[in-house]
Amino acid sequence: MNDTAYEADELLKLLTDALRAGPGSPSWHEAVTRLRSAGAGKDLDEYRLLLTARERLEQGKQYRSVRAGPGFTRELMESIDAEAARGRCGISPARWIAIVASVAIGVAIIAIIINVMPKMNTRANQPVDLSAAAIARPIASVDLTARPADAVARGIGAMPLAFDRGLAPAGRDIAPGTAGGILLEQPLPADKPVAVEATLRVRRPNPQLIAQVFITDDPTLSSSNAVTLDELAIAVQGITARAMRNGRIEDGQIDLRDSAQTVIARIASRDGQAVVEIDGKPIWRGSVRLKPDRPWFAGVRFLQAEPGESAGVSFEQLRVMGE
Amino acid sequence: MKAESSASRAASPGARPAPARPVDVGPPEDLQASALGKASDEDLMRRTQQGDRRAYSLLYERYSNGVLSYLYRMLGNVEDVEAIGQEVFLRAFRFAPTYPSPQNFTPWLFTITRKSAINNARRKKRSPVRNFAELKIENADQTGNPSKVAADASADPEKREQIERMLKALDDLPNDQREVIVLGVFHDLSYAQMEEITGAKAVTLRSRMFHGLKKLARLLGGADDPPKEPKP
Repeated sequence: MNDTAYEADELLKLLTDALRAGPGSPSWHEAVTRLRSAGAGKDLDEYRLLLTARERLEQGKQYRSVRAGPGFTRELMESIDAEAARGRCGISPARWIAIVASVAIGVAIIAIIINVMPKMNTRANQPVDLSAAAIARPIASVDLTARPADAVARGIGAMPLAFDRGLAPAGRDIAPGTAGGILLEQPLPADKPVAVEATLRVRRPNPQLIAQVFITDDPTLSSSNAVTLDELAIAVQGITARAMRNGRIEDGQIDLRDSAQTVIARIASRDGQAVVEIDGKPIWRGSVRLKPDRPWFAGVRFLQAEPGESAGVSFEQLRVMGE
Repeated sequence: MKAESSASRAASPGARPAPARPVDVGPPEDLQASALGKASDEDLMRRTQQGDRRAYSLLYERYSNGVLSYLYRMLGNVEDVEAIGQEVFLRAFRFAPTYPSPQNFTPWLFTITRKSAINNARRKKRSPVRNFAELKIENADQTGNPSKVAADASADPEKREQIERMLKALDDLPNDQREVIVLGVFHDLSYAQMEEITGAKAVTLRSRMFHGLKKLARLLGGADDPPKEPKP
């Protein structure tokens, strides 16, 4: 059908007016009346269906309806104030763009020079000390052989937990995908060296259950949500310990068969770099990818990976260390 | 039926704001504020051109929800809406001297919005996925989920399912058809206003509306099903 038909054909024009304006509008009322009295016909039936579709869209009109939060407005108004101040300075936006671009090019050239001169003594070339000896000052410690006070740690997730001989899943037949644990209430100093250590007892390796120690900048963990993608974690499943960063398994793993029944799972971070270890043996080292300008939190949790047993593994203690 | 709440008004930028409530006569600033509140969008833009930032703040209040919702509906991901939304209102302020008064403000602002969204798509730069709690945009967790919206819209299971299917299918429409439906249905813009914003002729926009809705109508039960009588 030629586009011009949508204005040349009176009924089509009325119909497309009605489709735009929607239920309750004069064009809608007129279109419905006309179609009702027009009888049957393939085109007419199709038009009626279009009106029904439009009705459904009208009912779903709140879809993706959003509003600016106070933070959005504040940020915008600050930008506008800055924009207005620049205008009063007499420097046009175009001139500012030219100035900024020139500075940016200069900075880029300097950065390239620095990076191609290997003997430059930059901070990035110095190794970051993430050892237990360097980050050894106790900040917090929670005994998990008894339920901690609410002010110290709170429960996260839906998995039932017990504290009889350490923190462990309680009950049988926990559905796969169920997760639960505890999160320390005291935030970690994200802009300082910090380490989280958990004492994990593996009485009986259990491949159906994943035990994790994690640090996160996600503030939304709660009794209904125990998992997040914004974290660095150690995951122990069966006899294998791995590092997980932002929901992805990183290269490297440790076989726990040669370890004692009780191991220390440790995550340490300094200057944006982190290490994940079991009993001092590194599994993985890399950048931490958590936001340094937000508080971090530490916790432990279990995730039922497959149907079956939930027993065999427990956390006995969780500690936070600083420099 | 069209809702008359302020939220609906904000989502339909073409509608005029309700008159300000009567205020006690206080300091001149209060009188000025209430007068500003009654000013037309075009008057507020003229004041903005003269350096009145309160006038621009009022325009922002009137249009922020509509602009952000349009961006979300066109881009499909709420993470980009924050950055582009900031860019839109900053550009509108920056280029206020070029606002072609007495042209209607709505198409002018939505043209900036549309171009910003297109430029973002060209840059193929996508903001990282974040939690709703982190965003400075509110309500996305409620209205971004088609099944939640459908559940709130109707108690009838069949209609609910139809609404959900149609909302999900919006993202699969060709861009030009989706745009006409978003601007015309969700934002109540006329074909004339859409002409100014998109540059396409009204006849073409009507054709896109027709064919876009035809694709969505197929989800109501198929072409072979008996058609249902539309309700007045």
